Amino acid sequence: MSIRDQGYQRYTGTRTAAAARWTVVLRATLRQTLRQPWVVAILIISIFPALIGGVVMYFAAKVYAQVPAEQLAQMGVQDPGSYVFLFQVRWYGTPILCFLMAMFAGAGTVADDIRMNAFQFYFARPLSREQYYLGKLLPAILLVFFVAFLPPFLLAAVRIAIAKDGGDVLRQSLLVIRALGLATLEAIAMAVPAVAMSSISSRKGLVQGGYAALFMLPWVMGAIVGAILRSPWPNIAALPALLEAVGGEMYGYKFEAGERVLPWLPSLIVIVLVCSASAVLLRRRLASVEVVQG
Amino acid sequence: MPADATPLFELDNVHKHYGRYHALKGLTFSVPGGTFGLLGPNGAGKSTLIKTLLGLLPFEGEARVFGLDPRHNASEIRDRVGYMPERDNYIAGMNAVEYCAYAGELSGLPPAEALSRAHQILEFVGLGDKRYQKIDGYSTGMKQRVKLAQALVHDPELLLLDEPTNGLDPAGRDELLALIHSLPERRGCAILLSSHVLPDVEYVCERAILMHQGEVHFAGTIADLKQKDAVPTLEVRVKDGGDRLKAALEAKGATVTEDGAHLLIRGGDPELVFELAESLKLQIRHLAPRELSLEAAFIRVVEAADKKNADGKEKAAVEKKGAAA
Repeated sequence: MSIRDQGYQRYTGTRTAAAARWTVVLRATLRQTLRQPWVVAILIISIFPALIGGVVMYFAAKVYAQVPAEQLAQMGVQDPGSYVFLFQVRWYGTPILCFLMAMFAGAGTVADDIRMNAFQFYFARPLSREQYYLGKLLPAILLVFFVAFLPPFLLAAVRIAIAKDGGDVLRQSLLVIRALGLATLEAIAMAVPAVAMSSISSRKGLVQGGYAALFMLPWVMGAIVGAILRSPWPNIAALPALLEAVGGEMYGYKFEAGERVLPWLPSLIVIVLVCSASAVLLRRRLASVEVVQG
Repeated sequence: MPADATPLFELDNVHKHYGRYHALKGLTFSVPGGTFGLLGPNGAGKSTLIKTLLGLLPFEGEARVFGLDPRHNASEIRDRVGYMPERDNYIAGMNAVEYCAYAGELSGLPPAEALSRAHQILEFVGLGDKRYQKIDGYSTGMKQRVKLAQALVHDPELLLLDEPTNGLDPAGRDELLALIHSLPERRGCAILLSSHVLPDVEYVCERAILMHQGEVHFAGTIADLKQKDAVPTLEVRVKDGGDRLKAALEAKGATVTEDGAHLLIRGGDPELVFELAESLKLQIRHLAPRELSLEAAFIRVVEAADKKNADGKEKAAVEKKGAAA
């Protein structure tokens, strides 16, 4: 046999802390996810709502600036800053992009590992199940967060740029914090169920289809039944409707009379329950994984 | 092993229960280092033992791996162990370099070191020119090699190999075994090889641990295992009239079995064979002591253990019956 290892030397350096190994999984998962063309496309497309919204907001601000504030209030016209909320959640452009990102970045991540039998690779090393969840969940959450936060952040920046005075700048700066809060909630609410569902099957396409059905069906059915019954409650399982209700509260948005919007607290409770159930599912699925198969 | 050196692993009265099933029954043995074969039929407790050593399972009793307790130092132990599982396990979409570098980083190497060692180890296992190819497209032999590479990349002190030649053709098997055989010398690591392919174990390992029904029935050198309870057997082949020689030997009280053209005489005396052949006018073509095989030793030890268990059960049943009467 040829000598192939003449330069071999034993490793004598220090090893990285075992508690930080989840960051290795996170980096690798992020790298792998960003290789998917759809993920890159969604990241690029996510800027468009902000561009459109920015132009609309700019002209609205110019027009409203000609009208006295009391008259605007009487007309029920809200501050142009409300576009930030509307673009983030109300007009569904961004939630749909978030859903697509969660589907492509999250709904295949564990399924691939099941299919390739990768758990032996991970868990024979000093990596706990919890570190694995973190390393798999965070990339999906981060990518959905990017799509959820970028448009409202850019819009908020435009709103701040066209502020009338220093006081207005301070007031409008709150938009960034609100956008950050809602984007975080949106990212967790979309990504955690997607990653948890991916632990059910080794077939990525099946998981992505299942996630799409879980997202779309309650939304469509809720809208139809809600219109017939003239009630917001059929939307209680529709994630966009739940986010709209919680987001409206976070932004202090005044919904018009007759709009069928769910109360924010039950909406938030449903989101928390869905995320908790997803986390439990993921944990239970991975708890039974055998590292050494006899 | 020097007197003050830490054994690779030591077990003292280690038990493991899965509910009512007693998977490990008071294992007590010590492994100094070198190359070890872990033998045993299915359900012997080999996988449970490996899991115990890696700190993946709670257990009763005392165990030390590199002098560390698997219950409290599982991370440190797993950093120093390389595991090559039986089944294929890869990361979707990764090439061999990325896969091995990822393995190195997960085992605590800094990223630059992990990448550098990934290149080196792939060269070492003979995949240097295929290292940028996606693993999904590898042949079975290449997949086995990349599995070995990921187990070696972080420079482990102990390599656990689970059926490493699974699915390989004879040439690929020989090449991989030669590579594994050279590891202790070239990489300075100990090897624990779990396999049902006994010739593989015999080729790679100096020592063996034989498990059956959760107990260790032998721990020592392979040469000693082959000798264990072995009755010297003579192998004889005559030109014609083997059946006449067999009958004559049996008439003298010898135990004779046929193995193709050969007669196998348990505890046979060569003088007696010559004597009988001369009287029967038979021409002896071959007469030699039968070489002891690992397979025969394995079967002997397992059968003896089964018999002991059956006797134990029978005795317990009789005692129970007596007590009831």
